[in-house]
Amino acid sequence: MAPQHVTTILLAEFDIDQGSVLTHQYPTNITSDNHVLAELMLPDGAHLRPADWTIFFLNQTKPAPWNGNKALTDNVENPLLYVLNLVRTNHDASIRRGAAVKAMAICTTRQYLHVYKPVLLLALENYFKDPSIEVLKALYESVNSMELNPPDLSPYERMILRSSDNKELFIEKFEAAAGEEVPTPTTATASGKVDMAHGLGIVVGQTPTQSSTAPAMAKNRDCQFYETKVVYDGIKIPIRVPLSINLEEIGEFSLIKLITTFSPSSPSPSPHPFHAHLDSNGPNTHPIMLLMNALLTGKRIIFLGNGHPAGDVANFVLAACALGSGSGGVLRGFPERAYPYTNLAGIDHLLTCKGFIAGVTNQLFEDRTAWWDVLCNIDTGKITVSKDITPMPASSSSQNGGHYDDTRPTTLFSGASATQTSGKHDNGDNEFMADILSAIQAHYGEMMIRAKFQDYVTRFVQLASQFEEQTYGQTTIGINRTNTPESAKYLGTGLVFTDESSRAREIAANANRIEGWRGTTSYKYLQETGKVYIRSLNRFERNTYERLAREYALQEENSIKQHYFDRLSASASSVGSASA
Amino acid sequence: MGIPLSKAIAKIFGNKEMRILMLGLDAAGKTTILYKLKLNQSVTTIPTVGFNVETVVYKNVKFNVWDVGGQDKIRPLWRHYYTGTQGLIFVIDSQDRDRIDEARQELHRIISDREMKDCLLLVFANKQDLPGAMTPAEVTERLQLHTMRERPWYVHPSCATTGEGLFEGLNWMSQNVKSK
Repeated sequence: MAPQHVTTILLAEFDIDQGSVLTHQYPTNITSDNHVLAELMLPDGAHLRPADWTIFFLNQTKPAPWNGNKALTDNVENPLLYVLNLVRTNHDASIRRGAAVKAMAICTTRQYLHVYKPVLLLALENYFKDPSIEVLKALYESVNSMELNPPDLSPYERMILRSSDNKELFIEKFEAAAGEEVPTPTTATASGKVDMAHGLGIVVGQTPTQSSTAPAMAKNRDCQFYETKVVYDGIKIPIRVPLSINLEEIGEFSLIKLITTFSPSSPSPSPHPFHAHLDSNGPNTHPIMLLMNALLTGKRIIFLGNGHPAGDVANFVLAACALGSGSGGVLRGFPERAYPYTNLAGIDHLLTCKGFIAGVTNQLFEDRTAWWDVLCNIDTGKITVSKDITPMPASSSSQNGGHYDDTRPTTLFSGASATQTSGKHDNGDNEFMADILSAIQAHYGEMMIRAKFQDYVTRFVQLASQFEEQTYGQTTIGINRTNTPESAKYLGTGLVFTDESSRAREIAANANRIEGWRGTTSYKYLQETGKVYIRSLNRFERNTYERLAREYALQEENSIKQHYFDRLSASASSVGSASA
Repeated sequence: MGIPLSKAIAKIFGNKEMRILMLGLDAAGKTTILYKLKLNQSVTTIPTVGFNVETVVYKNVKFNVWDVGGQDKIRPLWRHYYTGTQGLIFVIDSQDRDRIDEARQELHRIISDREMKDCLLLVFANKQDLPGAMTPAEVTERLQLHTMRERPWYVHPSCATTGEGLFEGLNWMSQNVKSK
């Protein structure tokens, strides 16, 4: 049986006598904790607005792979489920207490859950008219009969597609995919694209073909998306499935909005006591970098939108997942500790999590400083470090750790004087943020900004690998001469520095947050992936490069992408990350 | 560093701030009370999903009033609001004799919480305009308030839709709150 697009449909309502109640789960019950689920589906303040879209995740307590669960992602019994929820309040004077509040949700393992918005809207409308489980059944059947036969793209191809404005890139793959459906013999069309692909060692699929479907495809096609439809209640709803998203990019969010919301127009030194994991640039750490550090080192992070619709905070949480994971493409383990919307009903569970990224709309959370380490207020644009955070003074072993020059004027964003800093404390983050902000100001697109953060996190990982070799004599998260046979022959990834002292300086400046990150799940995931990858390198002789590329591409993906973006972006921020 | 300006002014003019938690069974009139206090208007309310919070200024006292939904299944969430609460307004539907015992149980459960031990208790015997409403004395009796000795409490008749009795209740709160 083909995997289901949607695993479950849920229905909750606010019963005027009892409160939040989970009325239906179709086709089977996915949880026994009905009450918390109902509370999440009926977010705070639902009575104040006609509708609210929220997102939350289920099955977040699945066993980690290093605890005896062999599979990394696939085939786990209870995969992480992404839940798209719509709550509506219908005022109706004819019913007791004047209104009905109902919510319907779609649970899916697909990251692009936002494509189901139109069909969910229609289904909830139908449920208000006819409150029966049949409505859920009809929705379940229609979304699961959606035809989905996207072209088979390798990680490299996805990466290139992602950064391309060419709307017909890889169109031959679409044609091939469509050709499988309607098998017709065909011939080549897109020769230019094949050349470009060859330069990067990309395997272009079956020879492009001139099938009967081809002319229709070339017209108005955007190869970033796979276009299909859901037929619900006799209505054809067009669906665009994004094809070039990274593993941990969930839903529709804006990284640019996250960055602009929390970038102060006039930065002032942060007043909280120095925290070695968070303040990588001392008191002048840019708030976005503080957030990045909090994400990397697994802190408890809250996004508060006081009185906002729950959907507002949810999108900030999704964007934060992308920020920390390197636009979803470098590190893993962020969605499994993300709670895009939660409320007091979820607090007991939340407080059992070592680190989380949660969105809330109740201002009470702001006062409960023991519940979080870092709070991001989406109204004020302020990021606050809790006074109750476990203190983390600079470790004495890392020479440059705590020596920040507090008296340095904060001119980092005014341009001219930024470059002539004394150097001992600036790890390049402020320069990077200045580059990001000027790119946003110059109206670079979301994808370009995401690419820059993917590069940033890639570089962080490479730096961490060097740090490990230097500090512990070995690394499990990178490729080096000791763990890779004949590394010089094939491999050229890793960081290159202008001289040894700049290398030492940069590693020292990052030492604290690298240590913080080494204790997190995202680090462990990378270790696991790294082992698989290195094992695959050891079998290199027996494997074709193509097969390798398809199956174990994570790290190389990043270095090739780096190369690609370096060429693409004149203002590439990373210094000296190169492939030999 | 010095104290922020607003706090300095508050000190000079004796402004007080009070954190109030308003609880009670569903449909007792909590949200109607909140918006009557805030807007001096009788608004048509629907059941509260989660909470409402408003700031009401009365006689130089800034009341931060939290109105939390009262349905059975969401009452376990009330406890999260206790910390820092200086005054509890417990709202009774004076006409609902069937559920007065349920209200009593809930009230006693709330105030026996350690976080609520120093908090003032104001009971609004609401919906006095309805026929057959219990009098404040009867409400006092049914809620067994006389057993409560360590805490200042006060029962006041009210009618949320007209606003009668509401500010008298706040007045009592402001006079009895201990200065922080």
